[in-house]
Amino acid sequence: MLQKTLSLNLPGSHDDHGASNTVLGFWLYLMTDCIIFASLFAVFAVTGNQFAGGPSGKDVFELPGVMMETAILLLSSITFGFGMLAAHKGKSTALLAWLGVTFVLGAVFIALEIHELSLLIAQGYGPERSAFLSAFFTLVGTQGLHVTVGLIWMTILAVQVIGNKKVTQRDLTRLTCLSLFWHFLDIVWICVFTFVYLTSVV
Amino acid sequence: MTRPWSRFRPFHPAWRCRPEITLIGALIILARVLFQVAQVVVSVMKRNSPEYKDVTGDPWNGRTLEWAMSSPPPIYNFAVLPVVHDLDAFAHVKQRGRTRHAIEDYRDIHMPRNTSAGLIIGSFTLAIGFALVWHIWWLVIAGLLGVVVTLIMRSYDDDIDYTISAETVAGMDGTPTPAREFDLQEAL
Repeated sequence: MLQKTLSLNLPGSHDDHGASNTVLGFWLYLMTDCIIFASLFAVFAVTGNQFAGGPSGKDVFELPGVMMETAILLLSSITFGFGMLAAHKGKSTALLAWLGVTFVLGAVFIALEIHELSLLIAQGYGPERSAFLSAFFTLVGTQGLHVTVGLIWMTILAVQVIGNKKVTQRDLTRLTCLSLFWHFLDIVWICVFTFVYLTSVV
Repeated sequence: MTRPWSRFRPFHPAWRCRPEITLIGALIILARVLFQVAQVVVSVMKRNSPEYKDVTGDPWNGRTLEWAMSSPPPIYNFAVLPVVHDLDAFAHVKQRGRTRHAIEDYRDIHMPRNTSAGLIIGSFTLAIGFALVWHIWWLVIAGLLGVVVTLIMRSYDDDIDYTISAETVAGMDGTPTPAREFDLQEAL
C-alpha cells in the first residue's frame, strides 16, 4: 500500500499522504518541542542566578560525571546513525544490534542523570530549594523524560522489526522519525551542557 | 442575585432605576435565547420540507471553495483537487462558466481509515489533566499507561488507509447535483 502511495505521490493529487509527509509532520512536531526547550532555556537564563542563599552551579555540579553523560549520549547518536545505515540497506540483524547498543548507551545516560539528580535531592538541593535549582531540574528533567520516551519507542520499534523479520517501509519511516528525535535530543543536551553546566562552572 | 447586588441592597432608594434597566437588558438576552431555541426547533421539524432542503451546498451563492461542496460532502471532499487562481476561487469559477470534469481528471484518492485511537487517547489525556489538577496520582499513572498502550496498539494496526479508485470517484461524482455541475480544475 505504502509503495503504491509513494509512486502515486504526484503534486496536486489526492495522494500526498506518503512516508515523506510523515517525516515532515515529525519535523513540525520537533519544532514545537524546540519551543518548549527554548522557553525552559529562557527560564534558566532568567532565574539561573537566583540562588536564594542556596548553592550555585559551581557548588553542586560534578563536571566529570556530566562529561561522561555527554560523551555517552553523543556516542549513542553515532551508533543510531550506523543503525540507520543498516536499516536503509535492509540488514535487520545489524540494525537490531546497533539499536541494542544505542539503547544501552541511552539507558546508561538516564541512569547517570537520575543518580546525579537524586544525589542533589539527598543533599537538600531539590527543585524547591531555589529558583536556580527549579529551572535546572525542569530543564534537565524534561530532557531526561524525552530520552526515556525515546528508549520506550526504540524498544517497540525493535520488537516490530523482529516481528516483521525484515525492515519494512513502515519500519523505516518510523525509524527515521525516531532517529530525528534522538539526534534532536542530542543537540538539546549539547545546549544544556554548554549553557547550564559549563557557564555555571566557569 | 449576583454578588454586588446582594451587598448593595438593590431596592434602596439610592439605587432606583438600576434594577429596571437591568431587567430590560435581561429580557433582551432572554429573547435572544428564545429565538435561538426556536431556530433549532424549526430547523429540526422542517428539515425535510423542500423549501428548507439544501440540495446545492451553495444556498447563499457563496464566493469561497467550501460552498462548492455538496451538503453533506462526499467522503473524499473534492473529487478533483481544485486549482486556485483567485482569492474567492468559487466566485471566479462561477464567472468563468461551469464545465464538467473530464474523465481523465479523476485520480485514485488515498483515504485514511476511521480510527478511535485519537478519541481514546484524548479521553485518557483528559483524565491525566484532571488528575494532575487534583493530585490524584494513581489516575495520572493509569492515564499515562492508557495513552502509551493505545499508541502501541495503534502502531500495530496495518490497515490504516485505503484507496478509492478513479472510476469509483467518477461514478460518485457523476450523479450531478447543481453544485457539482462545474469544473474547479478549470482547463485554461
